[in-house]
Amino acid sequence: MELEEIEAIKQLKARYFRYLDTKQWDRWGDVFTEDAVLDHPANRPEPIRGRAEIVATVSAGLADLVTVHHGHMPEIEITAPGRAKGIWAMYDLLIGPTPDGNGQARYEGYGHYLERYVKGDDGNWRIAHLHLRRLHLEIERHVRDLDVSAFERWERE
Amino acid sequence: MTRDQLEALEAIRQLKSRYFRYVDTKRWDRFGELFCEDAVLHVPVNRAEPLRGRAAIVERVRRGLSEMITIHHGHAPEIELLGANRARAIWPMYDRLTSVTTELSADPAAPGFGPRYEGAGHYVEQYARGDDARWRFAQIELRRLHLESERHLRDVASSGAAPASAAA
Repeated sequence: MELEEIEAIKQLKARYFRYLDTKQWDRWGDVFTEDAVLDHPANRPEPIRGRAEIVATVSAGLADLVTVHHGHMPEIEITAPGRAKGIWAMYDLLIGPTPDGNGQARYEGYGHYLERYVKGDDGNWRIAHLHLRRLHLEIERHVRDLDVSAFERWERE
Repeated sequence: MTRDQLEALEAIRQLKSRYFRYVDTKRWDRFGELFCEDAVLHVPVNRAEPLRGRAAIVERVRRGLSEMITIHHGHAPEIELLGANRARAIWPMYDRLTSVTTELSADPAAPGFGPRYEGAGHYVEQYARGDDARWRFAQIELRRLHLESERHLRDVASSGAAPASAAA
């Protein structure tokens, strides 16, 4: 068992979560290979292809949100020299404006990351393919819906 | 700690990862393969008597959880090797079980929608390594620290039978 490689991949995923939630986008981009693919079917049907596109899309999508991402229970397997695959159980919490901007929404999600990793010439492991599958998503919306004119009309009638 | 011992710890962590993953993705055949034939699963908060044997464990867990959305997470294990082929561990755990059926429950004791459970506790476990070198669960006991349950009851039918003194 390649214990050092497995530990390096666990730390890679820890940095993925930390740079994402602290919005350190340059560092976050470096956890991916140049040609990485990020596939999150619950959010968008088409995968995002390439490091630059992944960083641009995710950083724009999460800019106004507080995000918390946790990983649990990794199963890492070295499949060939410099190649590995892994599964992580995950939890995330996203809080931010509702899509129409008229209140606040809170998303709590549970699922698994199904991933492939590649070790570069610089000796660093990177995520080559990330596929996020949801088991469960809970959505809570706090919508502002006060129409004072309705009360004023009732008072006049 | 020797390299062999470190590898055993990693193999046991991955065994527990698969336990959670196969439950939550409802892969019952694979779930069964994680247990010794004569394994024991004991969840005192659910039933007083332990479940004995792989077949009984798989059947009971499948029946209880297959219709619910289930999330199980483990954290911060303490794993201790007890020789080359035996080990034990304690795993803190969190789980969240949600029924999303849109039909009202037929259970006269709890008519309505739900339930939802959110729990925390510890798995206290023993493992055995087989002749095929795979680690498996020999014994699991789930000790709850906390369990929150939420039900959405329908209480229309009984209101007509309420005692007059309750009608305020």
